Amino acid sequence: MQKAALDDILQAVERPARYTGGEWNMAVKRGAALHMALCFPDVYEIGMSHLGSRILYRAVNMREEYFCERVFAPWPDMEAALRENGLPLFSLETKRPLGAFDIIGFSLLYEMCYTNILTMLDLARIPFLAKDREGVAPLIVCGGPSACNPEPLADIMDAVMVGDGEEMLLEVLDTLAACHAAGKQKRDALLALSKIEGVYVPSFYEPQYQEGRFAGLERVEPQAPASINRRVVKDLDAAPYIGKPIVPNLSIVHDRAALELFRGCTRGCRFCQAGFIYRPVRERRLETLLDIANELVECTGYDELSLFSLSSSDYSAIHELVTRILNSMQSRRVSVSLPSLRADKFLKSDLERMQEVRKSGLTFAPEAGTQRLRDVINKGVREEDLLRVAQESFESGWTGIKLYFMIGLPTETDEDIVGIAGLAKKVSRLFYAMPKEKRIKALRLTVSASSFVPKPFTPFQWVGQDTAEELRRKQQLLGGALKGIRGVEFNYHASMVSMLEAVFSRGDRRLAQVLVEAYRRGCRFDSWDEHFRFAGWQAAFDACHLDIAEYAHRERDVKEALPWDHIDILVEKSYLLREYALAQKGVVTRDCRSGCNHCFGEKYADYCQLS
Amino acid sequence: MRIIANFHKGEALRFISHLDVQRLVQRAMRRARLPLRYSQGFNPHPLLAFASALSVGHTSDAEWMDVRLEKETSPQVFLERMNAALPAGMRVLRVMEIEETLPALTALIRSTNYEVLLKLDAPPDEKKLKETAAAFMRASILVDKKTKSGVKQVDLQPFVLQLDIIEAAEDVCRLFIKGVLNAAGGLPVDLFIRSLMQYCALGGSYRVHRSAVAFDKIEV
Repeated sequence: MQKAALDDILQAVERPARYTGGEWNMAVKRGAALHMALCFPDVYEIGMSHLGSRILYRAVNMREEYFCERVFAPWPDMEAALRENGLPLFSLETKRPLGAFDIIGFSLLYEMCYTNILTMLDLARIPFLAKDREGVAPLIVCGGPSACNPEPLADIMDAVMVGDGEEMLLEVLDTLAACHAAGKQKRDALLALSKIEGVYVPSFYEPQYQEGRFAGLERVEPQAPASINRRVVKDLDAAPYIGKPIVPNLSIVHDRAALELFRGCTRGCRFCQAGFIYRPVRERRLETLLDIANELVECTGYDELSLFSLSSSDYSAIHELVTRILNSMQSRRVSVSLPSLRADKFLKSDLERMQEVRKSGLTFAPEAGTQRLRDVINKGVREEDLLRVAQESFESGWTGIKLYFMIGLPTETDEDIVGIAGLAKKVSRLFYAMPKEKRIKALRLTVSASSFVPKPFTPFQWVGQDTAEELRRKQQLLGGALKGIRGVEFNYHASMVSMLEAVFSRGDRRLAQVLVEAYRRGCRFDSWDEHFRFAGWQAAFDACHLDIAEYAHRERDVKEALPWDHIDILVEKSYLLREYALAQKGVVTRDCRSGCNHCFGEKYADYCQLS
Repeated sequence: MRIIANFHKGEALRFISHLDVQRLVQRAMRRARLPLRYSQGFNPHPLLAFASALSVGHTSDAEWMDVRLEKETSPQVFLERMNAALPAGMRVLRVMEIEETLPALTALIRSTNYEVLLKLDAPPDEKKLKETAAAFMRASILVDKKTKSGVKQVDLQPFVLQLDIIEAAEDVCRLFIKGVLNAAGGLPVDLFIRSLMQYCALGGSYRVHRSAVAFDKIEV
């Protein structure tokens, strides 16, 4: 990098510390055999908040011979400045141009960041399509939850990692290093990579279409596996954790020490992709957690520790864990937070103690406004649980509560929408029924309604999403019903963004071209309201002769071939179908902690300690 | 006990904001296991303050933090432990113990010195530049200042205590500026430099380094 030019650019862009690196605990290495760029296709503040990337950063850098550096998507002002000055995108650690890395790996957390992948490749002068890249380096790969349906990015990625990355990525690097040493051609290197469990090499498969619809994937490389088994780390106690994590110099979204209690979730909420693609539940041992917590706080200087998981309060020994962590943290003035509380697992005494260090808001996710619909989506929370928790937290001095809901859920009626407001009203009344002297501040009741997006590997993967007009109508209906309720603040998501999310989460291989077309029309940072340009997307779909509605709103036949059928996520498709049928009848399925529901079938039954 | 510490904010951290500096110092103190004292009350906060905020992009050898500690700690120990816990781009240079009863540093600060390096598009005529700059300093220096309520015209003249052109050769020019800095505000040095460059018809970019500050009641 030309330092002088970069200096002048940084002087002129917004939040330049996004691009300077040099944070406490940043990895520094010399003479590594293999250089990896761990890319997050969003800004620094978002990317640095992602625990999975932090784990991978640590896992790779623990190995002396590999050096993992970070690259984030430049904000549009920085993108423009780099282009204007003819500078490439570079890493934070050593300012190495992105194109000079041996392997470039993207973390995919949500679909609406995909255009940023193209920005990053473009600024590294790397051709977008895998077929246009001849050499082994740089190898372009991806992983993360959105990679469980890799097809929309299949033409772009050389290889995709499906499932837990901390062991798989190291095997990928070992294999790649061996291929480099042997001077292998790209095809042979990809073949070697495809032998690693969890690795998918898209170019070894070709999609078939019938009457403009996806009809299956044909294997064109006989040595490639017939299906790709999701990778699972069985023992989290033995797996690398974040070690000495980087402490950012500028404020990021989750600016605290994060302690992952367990992976997976036993609840089985039918809309929730994470609930299916991270099964089985795998807990870290209590002692491991206490050790990690201590190390994290000591080496970062953070004064806040977050007990992080899909449903933290479900941890088997949650009460003992919270008590022991609080005992060790309180004297050090470290506050402890549980971000994913369940109203039915509320620990009043623990929460009161957690609040002694610092007051923070409480968040609950009833997801639907009526019990009927909560049964459909298998969200086991009952209204009386929620109201009891609200009451208890108000009495303990909380004044801020956030309630998360979804609209556009399968079988939803207007009654369910109005039910959300009914629930909010009851919560508000509980607060104002307290004597005035007990109310320290005014109530802040945030009602947040996101739009339901059907996701692969969930029982709702066949469902057609509500149209954008219908979602807007429901948003307005809810907004109206919430009027006049004291203390309520109403948030909702832009319906066009949710629609495109539905397109890309269940999309097929033809969408890569749409992505490129949208990128060329200026689409960037699509999950940011200020940058989202629907017209660009519409034009891109038109240019590719593809229909948004076909992808987003069409209900799939259960017999239809799905673009992600070649990925074996462990949970059987027949189980998802069974759950789909139960949902339509409004029948709930028990939490797997109260008894096995046999979601894995015979093949992987021994993967789950609960079964 | 109460300690004030002079620190350097360098190249690697010049783009982080004052709020970021506060957070960074607080975390470094925790890593350094320095027993920071907290305020009493409903929402206890660490008793850590700074003499002034440095603009984003500037470097400095004259930043000061003001901390209250729960236990007696020697200034030398404070300095060593902090420097072992600070990232590149920040370094504690000197540490002094002061009276608990002295007012906050923000109330005691009086002035600050800046060293400015101009990288010019064209070589300047040193003699002419000095004359123009002197003329610039004799009259009011009206600039548009962005405030919360909109753009306001202010005269910077009363805030500038000294302006020297140290060197003007080739395509660089070195300035020394001494400006007012106190609890009520101070010299907006970027506005001043831009105004000066405009007046003297100088094109180019510049870098600002704060080299010293002066306090009332404390000799530093």
